[in-house]
Amino acid sequence: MDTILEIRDLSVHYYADRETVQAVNGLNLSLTRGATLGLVGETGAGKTTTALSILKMIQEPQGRIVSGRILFEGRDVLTMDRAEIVELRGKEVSMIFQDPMTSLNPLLTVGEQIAETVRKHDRVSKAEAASRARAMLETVGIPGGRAEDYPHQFSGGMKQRVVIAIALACSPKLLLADEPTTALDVTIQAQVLEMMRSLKEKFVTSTILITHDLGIVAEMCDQVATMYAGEVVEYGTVKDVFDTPKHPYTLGLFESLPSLDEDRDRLRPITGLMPDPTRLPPGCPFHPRCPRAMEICSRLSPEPVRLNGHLVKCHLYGKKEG
Amino acid sequence: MPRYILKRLLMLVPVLLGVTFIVFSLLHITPGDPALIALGPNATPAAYEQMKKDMGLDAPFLVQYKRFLLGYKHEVFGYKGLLFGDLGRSYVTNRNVFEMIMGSFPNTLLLATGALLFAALLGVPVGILSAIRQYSVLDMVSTVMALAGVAMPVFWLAMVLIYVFAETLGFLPSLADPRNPVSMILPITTLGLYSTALILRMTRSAMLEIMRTDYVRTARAKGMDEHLVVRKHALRNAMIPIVTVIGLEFGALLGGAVLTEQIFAYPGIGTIMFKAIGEKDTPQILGSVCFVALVFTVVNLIVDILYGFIDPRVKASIQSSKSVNFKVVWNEFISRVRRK
Repeated sequence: MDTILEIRDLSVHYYADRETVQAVNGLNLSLTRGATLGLVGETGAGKTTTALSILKMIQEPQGRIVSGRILFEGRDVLTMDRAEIVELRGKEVSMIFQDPMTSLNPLLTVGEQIAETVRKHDRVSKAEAASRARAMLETVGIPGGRAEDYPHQFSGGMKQRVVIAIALACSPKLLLADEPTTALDVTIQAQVLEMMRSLKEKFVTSTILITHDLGIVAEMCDQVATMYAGEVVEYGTVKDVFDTPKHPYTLGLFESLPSLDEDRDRLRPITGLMPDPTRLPPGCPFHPRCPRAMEICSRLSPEPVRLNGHLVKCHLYGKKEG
Repeated sequence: MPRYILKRLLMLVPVLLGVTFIVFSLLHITPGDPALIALGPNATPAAYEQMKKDMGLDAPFLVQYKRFLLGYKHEVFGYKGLLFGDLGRSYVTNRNVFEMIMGSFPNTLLLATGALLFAALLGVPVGILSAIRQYSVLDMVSTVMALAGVAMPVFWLAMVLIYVFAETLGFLPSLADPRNPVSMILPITTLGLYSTALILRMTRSAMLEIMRTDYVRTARAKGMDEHLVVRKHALRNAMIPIVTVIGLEFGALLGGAVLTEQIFAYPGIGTIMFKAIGEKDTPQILGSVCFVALVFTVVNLIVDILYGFIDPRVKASIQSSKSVNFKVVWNEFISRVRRK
């Protein structure tokens, strides 16, 4: 199968006054063309930073990509110059942001916000771009006549549709959706997800869907990667990972969900907190919270191990198959 | 939109009434007797009493204020009143008050416009550059210059400039004359530097804030070129606070730069006011203050209308103001008074 995106050993740091925030640490990930990958993890696990890195949009000088390669169709995004990266953004890789309320420019009509992307990348006339913007609005279920309206005249769910229309306007090959439904209420979430799924089929776009909602992953994704403290700790097909989760952190995530089959009074949260990203613990970053931590975990960072089709980064499995 | 403008113009009435009442009261309680000044120190008590009566200064305070608004009948000192656009003649020059103001206002307009153009053309671009290259050498230099611009007293700066450019180098004249463009350089620079500093800092902070917003990030993620991101997405959004500060500065400059005009002996409205206050020339003081208040509020109105052109949300709310609701106008007036 054809790989559209491959991230190798990506590390991203942010620099505060005296501290260094290690947001992403040696992350490896690959995405098959046409597939949807769910990227799950707690707030602060480095999901958004990973997505921004793919567009080379880490704000310098506060943030910096310290090491790694991001190969999009074999080309390393991180070594592209300004002109190349501007061509990549919006045209080949586009991103949907978390909060639709603030993601649209309040002073421009939604039609213009879609059309300017089309004009930039497909070099068409103003009229052509405007009519494509209207068509794009229709595609996401908004009457084309509303292209002349401003963002404040739309509801939250409608705004997110506009944001999606902007992202898909130039039929990108890869879509990065950063918690696209988190800011919406549940009924609108379902509508937006349903729409994304049908658009994905229409435009044949590969997708990375960032979320902390395992239900959405089960609904939407083919593959899933669990992130913890800037690393992918478990990676595989949704079926494999959901049927037989291996990493204690992934197990913990499932444990902490309410279940319909089982009679449980209380949820079982993962004890403890995410480690301070300025002072990550040595060894496996999860070991202070891990119920099955061993002596080696605090000393040595585990190597990823392939276990019946999926990758796990945990010492529990190292010896058996290593 | 016309309704909105009408509403705002109607709001000028209470504002101007308030301003005149305060100035009138202040003149009443401060020392200095116009009748005595008019007659000179050697006047007889009888002549003094007669002068007071002629000038209408023997009447109670509120009666005097009423006359100021509605007119005063007297063959020498009579006038039709503020409501009819007539405040009589200056006690000192015996010229019509408003004619004096209209004679000097174009000079002030010229100076203020020059200073504002100087400030905006320098402050806005440097502010933008400072913001997009935050912490660069340019940003540091402009920050220090702006602080210096705000901190330097105008009269001191004016004297330094005169000393350097007029006295020592002899490039430029030290007296300003509205008919001679070269002589305007020093007063415009003096007056403009303070506004430049304010506009620069406001532009920088507004741009810094906008450059961090999600929609600027969206624009970048769409693949917009950086200059378009700055110009089309960030700058337009930053324009609202920038236009506000420019409008306030323009209003203040039009109110007469008393110190600058004095130092450069410039025949503007500030000079007229300064002289009138020194001579306790009540009609001239009141006339000038009313005029300045009117100009200031009109400039503010223009700025508010400009918002509508920048921001569609403001435009929508302006257009939806259907009728003049006096309760709303009154509440707005009260809240403005409280804010000040």
